[in-house]
Amino acid sequence: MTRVTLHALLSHWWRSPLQLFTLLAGLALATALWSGVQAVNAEARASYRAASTTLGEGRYDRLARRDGQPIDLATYVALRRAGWLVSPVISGRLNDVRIIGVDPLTAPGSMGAAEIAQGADVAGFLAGQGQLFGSADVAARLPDFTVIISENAAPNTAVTDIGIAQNVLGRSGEIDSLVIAPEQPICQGDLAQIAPDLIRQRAQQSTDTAQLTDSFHLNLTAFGLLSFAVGIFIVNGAIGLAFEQRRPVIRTLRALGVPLRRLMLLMAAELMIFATVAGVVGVFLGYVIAALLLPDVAATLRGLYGADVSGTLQLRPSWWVSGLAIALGGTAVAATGALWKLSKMPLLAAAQKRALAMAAGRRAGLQAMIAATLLIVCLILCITAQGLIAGFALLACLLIGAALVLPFVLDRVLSVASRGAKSIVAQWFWADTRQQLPGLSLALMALLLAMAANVGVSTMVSSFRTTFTGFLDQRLTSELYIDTADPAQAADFVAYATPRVDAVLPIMSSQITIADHPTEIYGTRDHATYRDNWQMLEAARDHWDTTFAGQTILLNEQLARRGGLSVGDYVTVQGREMAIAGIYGDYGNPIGQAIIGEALFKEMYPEITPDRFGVRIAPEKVPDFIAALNAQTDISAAKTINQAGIKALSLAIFERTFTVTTALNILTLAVAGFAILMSLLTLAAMRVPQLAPAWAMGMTRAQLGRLELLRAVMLAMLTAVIALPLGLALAWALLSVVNVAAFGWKLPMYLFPMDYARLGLFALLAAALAALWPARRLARTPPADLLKVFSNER
Amino acid sequence: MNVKALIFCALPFMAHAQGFAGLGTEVEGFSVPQPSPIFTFPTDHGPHNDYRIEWWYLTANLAGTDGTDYGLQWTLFRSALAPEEGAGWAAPQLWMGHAAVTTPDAHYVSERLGRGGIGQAGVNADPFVAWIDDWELSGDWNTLAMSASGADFAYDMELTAQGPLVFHGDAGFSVKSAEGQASYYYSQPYFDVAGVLALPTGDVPVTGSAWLDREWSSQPLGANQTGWDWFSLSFDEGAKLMGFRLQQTDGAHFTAATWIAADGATTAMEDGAFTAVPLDENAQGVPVRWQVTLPARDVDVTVAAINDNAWMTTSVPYWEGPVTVTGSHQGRGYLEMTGYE
Amino acid sequence: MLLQVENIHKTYATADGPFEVLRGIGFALGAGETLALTGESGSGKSTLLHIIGGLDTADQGRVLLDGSDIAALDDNGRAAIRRGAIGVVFQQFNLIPSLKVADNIAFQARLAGQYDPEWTATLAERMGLAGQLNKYPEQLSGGQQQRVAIARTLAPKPRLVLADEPTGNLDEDTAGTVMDLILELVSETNAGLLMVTHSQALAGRMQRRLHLRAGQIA
Repeated sequence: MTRVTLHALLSHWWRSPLQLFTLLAGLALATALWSGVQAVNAEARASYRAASTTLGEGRYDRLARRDGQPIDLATYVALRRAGWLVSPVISGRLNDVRIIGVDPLTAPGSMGAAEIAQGADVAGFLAGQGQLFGSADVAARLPDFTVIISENAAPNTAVTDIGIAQNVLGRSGEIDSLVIAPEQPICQGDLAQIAPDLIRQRAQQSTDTAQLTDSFHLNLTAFGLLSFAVGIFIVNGAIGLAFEQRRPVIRTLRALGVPLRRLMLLMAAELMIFATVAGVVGVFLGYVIAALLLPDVAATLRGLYGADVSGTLQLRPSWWVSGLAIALGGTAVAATGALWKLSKMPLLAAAQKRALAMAAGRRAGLQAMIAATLLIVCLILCITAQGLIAGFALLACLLIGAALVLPFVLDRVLSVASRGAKSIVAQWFWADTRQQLPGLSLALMALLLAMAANVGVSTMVSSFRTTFTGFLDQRLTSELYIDTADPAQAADFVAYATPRVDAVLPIMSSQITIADHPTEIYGTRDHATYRDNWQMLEAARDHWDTTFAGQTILLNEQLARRGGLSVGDYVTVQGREMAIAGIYGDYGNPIGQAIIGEALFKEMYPEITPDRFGVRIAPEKVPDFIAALNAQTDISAAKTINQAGIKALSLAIFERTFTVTTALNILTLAVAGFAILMSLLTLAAMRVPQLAPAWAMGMTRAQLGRLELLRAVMLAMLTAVIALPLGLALAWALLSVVNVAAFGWKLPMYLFPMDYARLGLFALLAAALAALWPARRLARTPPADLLKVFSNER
Repeated sequence: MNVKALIFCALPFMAHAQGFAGLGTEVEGFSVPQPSPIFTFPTDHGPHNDYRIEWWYLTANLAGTDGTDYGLQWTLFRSALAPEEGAGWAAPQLWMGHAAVTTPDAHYVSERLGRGGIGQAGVNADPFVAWIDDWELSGDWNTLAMSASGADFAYDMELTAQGPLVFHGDAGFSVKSAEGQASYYYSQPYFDVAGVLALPTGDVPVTGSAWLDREWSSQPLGANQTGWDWFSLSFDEGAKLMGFRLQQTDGAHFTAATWIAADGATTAMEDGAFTAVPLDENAQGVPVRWQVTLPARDVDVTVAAINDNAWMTTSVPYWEGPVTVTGSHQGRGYLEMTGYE
Repeated sequence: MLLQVENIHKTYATADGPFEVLRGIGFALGAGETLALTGESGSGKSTLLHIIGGLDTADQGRVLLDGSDIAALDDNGRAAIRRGAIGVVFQQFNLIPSLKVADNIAFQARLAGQYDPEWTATLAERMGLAGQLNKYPEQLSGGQQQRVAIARTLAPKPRLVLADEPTGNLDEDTAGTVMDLILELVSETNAGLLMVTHSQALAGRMQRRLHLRAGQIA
């Protein structure tokens, strides 16, 4: 019985291959969109994690030779014997692979690459037998070595014992730097006596880049979430239609004696097989999408870290699992509803059309109520939301609520429009559109979400870029930054540079606590550099004048938010009450920051002398100045930071972020367009009986086809009009709620009307393209088919 | 699992493949202790690189001027990847130091790892010095200077020997299992100690007595032995007792003991002569009160931890802390318990 | 006795309140017997047929097929009866559009596990469908489609054939031919036939006739 029934069920698809294609393609595209975004995200994260965990680079303070030369073994041992818990590191390149040598016995914390290599020949690792830990590409480039493949290893990097690294790099006995463990014994020798050549380099402010990248990932995660929502709608639509089309067959099968439970089981099994096939295809498509996008993502991250990020994609089992889970899970969710309806469907096609219509009405009412509830929750969350989870809940309520309310709103709009219609054709057009709405609503919801996602994410990324570029301008105003080693060198530098440049701006800071929050306080010289470039989010009048005069203080946004402080409030610094004159944006900084005038800073912290300086100088003079500085003082080129380079790099990064975003935008729209195409195609057969009377009464088929096309474009336009505010609300939620929760700072939101107009145009284009084929098919329906409607009592 | 733990997996200290910390694993190429050894000093105070593991293990019972009890530990372990010494990073000798100070209500621990061959850690027999990083134990064994430090404590001690070296088992050949696994084992249990403990609460001048163990072997435990309870007890009337109980997977125990008379004369006790029965456990399930008997010497005492929570949070965790002795004899001592993870 | 119907009652809820469509119907039908069920629209003919066929359930009363009560069976049990013991010929044919004519004819027999290729071929032959076996239903005329439906019903050799206006959608000539075939085949398999019809002519060809009026046998 099972075989016969399954044969009957499956034969439907053989007879309607287009329907089968739309179902499979819908599922596959939804899966592809989801898994593609996930793949990009996962790969970027994995690369990032691997890069940052390799030796915890940049996480620890280090000791290095003042002159940049290698440290010898005796110095290392002398430090250890004096109670300094330091660990040697050497790095270099071999066959374009970065080789990092460490001493695993003394290295602080975990050591990324080697960490996962459990079961490796560890004695061999220590005993100089040449094991390296690295990724597969490393193994390929170092054929002469035993490379233990470690999936999570940093790209293009091999970690090995320091003894081996020294041999491999031909640098026997040399050490590049000594990592200082965070926890040190209470008794230690004096560093200046044991190793006068070494200077301590503070850990990189790695939080800067980490936060930046997190923002970038948040961006992609939001996209992933939205693509998932779009995908679910598409899957739901495809499956709902698959059931709808076979309703009469199902009835016949039951009348001929196939038990209901068996039928439901078979249909569920059939769908799961489809979902698996489509899921596999979808994951592959997603892989292709990710592979195309990944070079940009990798380049972005490489720019951010200056570290190697693999530009090639590894097929991780987690994508297969998550991609298939989405296909199967989405199918299951959609199928559950459809199967439930099937089980409730009366066996006899009784002439209870009115009852069915009533049920449909009730369902629409329920849907509108759920939508209203979600939107109200969303409003409440707008006001109360705090924290990341509430932020994402807000996003979810907003998106689902808006999607569910869409059919209701469109129905109202169409009803109003039909009342204004004068000609009979127009009246028929509006009425017919309203009748078609339920069949198209899922596809339109998908389009709504796709468009809103595009508007929202574009706004977020563009706002991010605009803000960050401004922030870079503000923070990297000086053309050149100089690090000096000690007060003597600092004094030499000031003496040397002052007559040769426009201005030398000392950068001095101290760690303090303001309003119970750890804060870095800066003493700042009165100079136009600050007045002209620093953007205040909120400021009192003459805030720079009063601050440079030592009367007031400026705080960053994080500190103001955490301390609940605003302009005009007072804070205590070194026992002194100071009024807050301004609050400035400080993106990518985890802790509080405050600015006071230079004179006041020196009075409060007489022991602190500046060791960093910003230099204002005409940009074209920078290279000559650096060369002269290196030649005439003991400041090495490594201690000079050319800000133009940093800025250019940062801007390049955001350009790349943009490419990725744009590509994803187009993809999402394409998928939504496909959903429309699918819905129209499947509706086409059901449309014939509805259109036949209009045809019989004198409308031409071409006219009907044009109206079909017009209808699709008009519905898409209405949807786009609703999607714009939704997308902006989405962007607002991302920037003002989710970002604040995640990073403690709010990104100002900028609007980009041209972008939205372009997006709207794309959406209309997608809808028109999707409607074109069904409309043409309709225009060419053989009159015989239309006549059948009358000859055959359906 | 961090990389250090990973690396020590490969070391005898740590591998749980057989016995406790891999001490029951047989490894080819290393020498095996033989009965009736003849030791040569100061050479034998130094390392024996052809044996797989070795330690210099000092514990001390101390008292502050106010009478507060303190315990102190200074230990250097040697673990060999190969039965030889070498120079440079590839040298096969690895070193691990453990230092601890126990007060009635706190237990401070620090651990250091390093390798031989580069000078970071090692032992030299003549002049005697054992060191890892800034930790050091040095002198001529009549007097020794000892120091160690951690993130929250440090100490500096002077030790003066008041008696002879003591050899356990058969003249220093100490049998550890019925199958005959054994180690070379001698002690200097007669040190007087004076020095200063630097604790978070401030510096504490202390005096007391210390017991230094020397032991080396290549496979000291049987494959079915999972840990031990080791007692070093100094009785007020002058005699001392070293006894241990090895735990076996079948639930039985192997015991051995050395009775050290006040004049330094030793008597090795056969398996079963010495008994130790747990009385109470701490919250972690480690027995911190024991009934210890040696009927041959009319010993029947209760041994109780001064601080129940003397857990060593090191790569290889174990319990090590000072104890008081009451019952047929009174005194102080140290207790070490392994295999309770 | 093949079929015994006892005291069947059935009430529908309508917009104007409950409507009792069947009010205590009872009759019997033996193997090889043919019975016409006539009556005006809304007299409850189709409802009665559906209840006997296990497609619907009665509020009260019993339908005994070979002495066992169909009404007492659950959904699965009734589905089994529909597959094998009873065959229904619908007015709207209810063919499966995605299956070829041959597969449609064999469908129910296969479903019931009572597929006899020779008998099925004979049926197709005698229904005049031999040339149409590889076509899809939509390529056939109405009369041909109904013959496919009848062949499908008779293929598992059901003991009771129920027919609901089987020729209602056919012209008079075709209807006559189809009816001849049904009667011929039913008598060959010694099945019982219960046919709902408006047509006095068709009813006249049955051995017995029951007339329903207002839910009761007149």
